[in-house]
Amino acid sequence: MEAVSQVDSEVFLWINGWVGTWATFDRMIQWLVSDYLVPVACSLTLLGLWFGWRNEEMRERHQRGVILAGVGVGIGAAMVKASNIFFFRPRPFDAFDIEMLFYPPTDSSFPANPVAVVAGMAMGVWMADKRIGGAMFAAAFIYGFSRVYAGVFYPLDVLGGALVGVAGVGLAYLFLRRIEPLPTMALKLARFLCVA
Amino acid sequence: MNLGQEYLLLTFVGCCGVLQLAAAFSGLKGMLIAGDRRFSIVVGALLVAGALIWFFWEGGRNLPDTGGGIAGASQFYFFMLGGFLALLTTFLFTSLTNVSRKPSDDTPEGLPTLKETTYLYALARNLIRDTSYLHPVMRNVKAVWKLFHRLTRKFSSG
Repeated sequence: MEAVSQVDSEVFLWINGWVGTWATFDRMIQWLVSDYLVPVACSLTLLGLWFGWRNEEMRERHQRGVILAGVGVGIGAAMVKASNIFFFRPRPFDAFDIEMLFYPPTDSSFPANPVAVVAGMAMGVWMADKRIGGAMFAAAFIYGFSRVYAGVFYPLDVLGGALVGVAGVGLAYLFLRRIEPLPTMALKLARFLCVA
Repeated sequence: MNLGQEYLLLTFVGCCGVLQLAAAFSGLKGMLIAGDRRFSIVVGALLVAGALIWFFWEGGRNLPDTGGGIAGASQFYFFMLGGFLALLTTFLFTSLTNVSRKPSDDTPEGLPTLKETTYLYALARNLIRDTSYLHPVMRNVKAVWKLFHRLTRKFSSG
């Protein structure tokens, strides 16, 4: 465990060590690392996937993917909250004197909550559409990298957050299958109201 | 405006844009602000890009939630509210601008209805055509009426 933590810190210091080298790249990271940009972009993608299909079968598949992503993100967020009760990992800026491109958060570093949310959305969509889900996973990767580069998380925190997000969707999948036909009835009601 | 209000505006305008893009790509003409598909794609893209550029013009808006930023849960609520308002605005506005659109009788249920007609027309038609959703309500109304009648029978004059 000690060795893993050591490697994690070394990788973090190597990535964060590039801060200040290219001003334009740092500015770009300050946008990407934002609490709002990537989550809003992914949420807008979910909305587009709900409405944007001509084919009936494709539409239903994507709408089920959006529901899965929504429930999965909720379960993932609950898992992060539960983890924070029992486990606290200090942030990298508490342990090292580093350059930061973001404000210093006070909650536990592990697992990375924002990455869990975006990875959860990506996983839900991926189960319905590999291409768009893959693009969202790429966005989650860039988001996670920007958080490490900005000095907010260790790489393992980001990996842990992504795994929590994926696990949340896995649990959501089992949960939604268990409560079937409720999701189907909800979709039928939405269809009756002309919103699905 | 504070950050919360600006975020709500971002989500509202962004969702309006995405709805126009999605409606244009899926052929839901009854949901288009302008009847033309290509024009709606341009309008949708401009709304999404414009909202994002306006919100992030001065940077990433990186503030802690204890210092004016928005907490994760609040972001979720704001997005849901913005999305709901965008949907409501789109449905109301397009129902007024496309009022002449009337569907044929064999139009499928759900969103595909909006390929031929407007939201309000489709919803009203569903509510009138299919009244099965009223059955449990009516059953309960009858049961409540019977109970009321039984309880008040001996007190009623007449």
